Amino acid sequence: MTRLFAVRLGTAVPTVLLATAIVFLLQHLIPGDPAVSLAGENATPDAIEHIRAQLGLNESLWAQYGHWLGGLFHANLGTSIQSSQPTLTVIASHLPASVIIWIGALLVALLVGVPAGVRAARSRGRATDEVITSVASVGIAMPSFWLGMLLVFFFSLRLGWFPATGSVSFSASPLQAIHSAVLPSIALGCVGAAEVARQVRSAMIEVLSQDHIRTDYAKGLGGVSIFWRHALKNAGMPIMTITGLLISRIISGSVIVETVFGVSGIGSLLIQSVNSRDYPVVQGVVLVAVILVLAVNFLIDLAYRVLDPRLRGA
Amino acid sequence: MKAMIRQRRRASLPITAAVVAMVVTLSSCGNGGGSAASNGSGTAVGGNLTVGDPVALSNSDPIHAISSRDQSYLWTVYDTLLTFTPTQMEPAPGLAESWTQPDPQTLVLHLRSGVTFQDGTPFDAAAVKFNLERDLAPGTTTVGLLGSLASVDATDPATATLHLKKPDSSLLLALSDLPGMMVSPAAVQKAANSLSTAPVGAGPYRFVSQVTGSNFLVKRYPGYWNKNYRGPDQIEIKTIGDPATLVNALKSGQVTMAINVDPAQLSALKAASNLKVETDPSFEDIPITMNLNKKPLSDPLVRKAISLAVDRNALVSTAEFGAATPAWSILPKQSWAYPAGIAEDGRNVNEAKQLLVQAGYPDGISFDMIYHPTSTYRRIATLIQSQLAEAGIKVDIVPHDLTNGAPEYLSGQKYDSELASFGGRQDPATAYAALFSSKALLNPGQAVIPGVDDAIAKANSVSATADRKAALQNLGKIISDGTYSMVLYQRQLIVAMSDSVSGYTPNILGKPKFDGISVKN
Repeated sequence: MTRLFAVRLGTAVPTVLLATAIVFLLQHLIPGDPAVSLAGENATPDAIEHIRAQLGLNESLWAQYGHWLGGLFHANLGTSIQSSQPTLTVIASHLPASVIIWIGALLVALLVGVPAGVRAARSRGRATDEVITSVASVGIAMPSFWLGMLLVFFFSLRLGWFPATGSVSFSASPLQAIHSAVLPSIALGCVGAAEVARQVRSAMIEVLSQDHIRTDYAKGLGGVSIFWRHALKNAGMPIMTITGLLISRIISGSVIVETVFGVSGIGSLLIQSVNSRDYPVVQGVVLVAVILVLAVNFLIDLAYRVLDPRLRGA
Repeated sequence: MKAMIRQRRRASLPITAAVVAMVVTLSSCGNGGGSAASNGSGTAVGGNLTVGDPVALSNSDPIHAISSRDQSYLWTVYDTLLTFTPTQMEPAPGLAESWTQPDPQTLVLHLRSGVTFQDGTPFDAAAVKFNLERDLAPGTTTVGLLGSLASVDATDPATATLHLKKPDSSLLLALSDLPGMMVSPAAVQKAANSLSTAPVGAGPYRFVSQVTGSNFLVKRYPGYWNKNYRGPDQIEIKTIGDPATLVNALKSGQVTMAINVDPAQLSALKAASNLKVETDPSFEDIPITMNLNKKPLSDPLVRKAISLAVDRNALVSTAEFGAATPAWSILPKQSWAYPAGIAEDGRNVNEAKQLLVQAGYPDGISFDMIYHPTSTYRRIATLIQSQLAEAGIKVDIVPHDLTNGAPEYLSGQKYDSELASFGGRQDPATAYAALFSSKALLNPGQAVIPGVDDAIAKANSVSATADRKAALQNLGKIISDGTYSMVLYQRQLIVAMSDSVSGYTPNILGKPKFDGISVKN
């Protein structure tokens, strides 16, 4: 366990450095000068030059990146160029709205995808299987932003059941926070549900064809027990793998969904910051996303060990 | 077995009903509370206004505010030294109830008494001096508008005297913009950057909370000096960047008012029965700016040919869905300084071709034009390209991110022209100077246009309205005669609101204020 942790940490540090270095260089390749933007509409050349010097934009890219890394060791991600607020504060104020949607989308994906996959596997080759497989194919192909617009049209504008846009802070009102996150979660989680359903179906079919399942039947175990206790546990590894990939995809997919639903999460913050060349905030959001994805991968690794005793000694 | 299923279905009914009831209950409480008091005659006064704006507040400190749309947010918290009349854009009293100019280089502001900032700090001449000197600090966004200001004296608590380096009558309207927003000196002295997170001014609303790029909440300030002020009790401005999402938010009641609405959403708005839609003239121009130092656009005959080959009416109806007005000047016709009598070219492709022959380009010309790669600008650029092609003018349209400007274009190194918007300025002379002065950053390559610098100086050296009008009309005529400006149209400001909102007054600047609005929540 300690070794696993050490190995993971050993690979995580260079991964974070590489990701942030790539993003840092890429964003500086985009045309435009934040100093021009910050000087405003009535800028003077002196004002632009002053701002450029103040922000250190005259220094080499590596020097700028070095300063950012130096700050990182003191938990200082710099100050937002646009709003003059600490980057960490800006990200912290946007993160909760995203986290609610991420959790909601994951729940939608698993609570819909796993039972659907199991049901399809149980009915292999029959009409139910065909329907679930076809719906899952459509679900995978459906863009989340388009589904989001449909959901808003029916459930917000027509029925008035859910807010069309925006988010509510969980601390202000937990119920309203969940209520406002329902549609974005469905929009974001549907593609995941379709993927999970297909993966669970194929994993279950493979497990169900194995000898030990036949033995279970021979012992007189009921179908429910065999499917949910024996087969699903053995199909758990591919489900875990797809869940890990799913979380990464949910984090990246929320950028679009947050825009469609006007949610002030870190996805919409990223878009605004890229547009305004707010380098420290872009860097900070990327750092948070990379750390989250690495943490999820680590947890999935641990889950493998829980599900498969053979890996515990590895 | 069937009985069991029926039983289970029956059991699930109450659960389904409970879920639906919960959803309905939650949805009914999602639109915010707040109540509008009645003035006794049945007319609602106050109420809570929730505004959706696609443009986020860049910074709540006026000296660092960079977006041309920030004023709608900031005017709630900060009162300005002067204000402007909404239809004519003429200077009007603000925190300075009157002003005098004993000589062209001195401006004396007579300040209101009994004004306090929202933190209790009294507003006086010392506060004005503090603010204007803060505006002049290097690196601020306000320093460019106060280029003529040399120093400020707090002559007495109710009188501030501004000494100018040169005559500058445009200063009055600059004081109704970001430089004139008075911040509490005590708040700044306590923490220099505090206004970026917690603004404190002397306006009708006190700041409550903000989440960068998301929302901005203010509530009525009980100590506001103007006891006759009418407006909402609370204003929350939510940033909703996607145009369709903004309209959905308005239709579903998440916001009660939407400002700066994309014209592509007009038909959706007009189809909704419970919404009111206002389209009003604004200062926002869509011009093709040109590098006047580069051939072939340096030739006035070529520029005139382009102006004749472009079909402004088609651009308005196709690219802006009718929510714009064809234009030939950077000022809208409603402006007091509009250069009446300038040529208003209709489309004439044959005449355009003849002018090109006359200019020595019988085979036509070609130039490149950068544009911001959004759907709107792509639409406009493509239309211009096809219209000009009919006159033998080939335009290479180049998508180019213009969020932070195009330094290589503005410095004159690269590209011939740019399609972008110009948000206008309170004062007409400031607007002309921003685009055409030989020192203007927005004048690509800082081209020298004969007579323009002198005409700007002349317009700023006179203070009587009639004299300024004459000087500014002359300036507008110089620009028009040489076709130095290729304004295509002025956008209209689209504001939509629910039936519960009343009392909105548009202004020609195109930056909505919320004074006078009441909401029946």
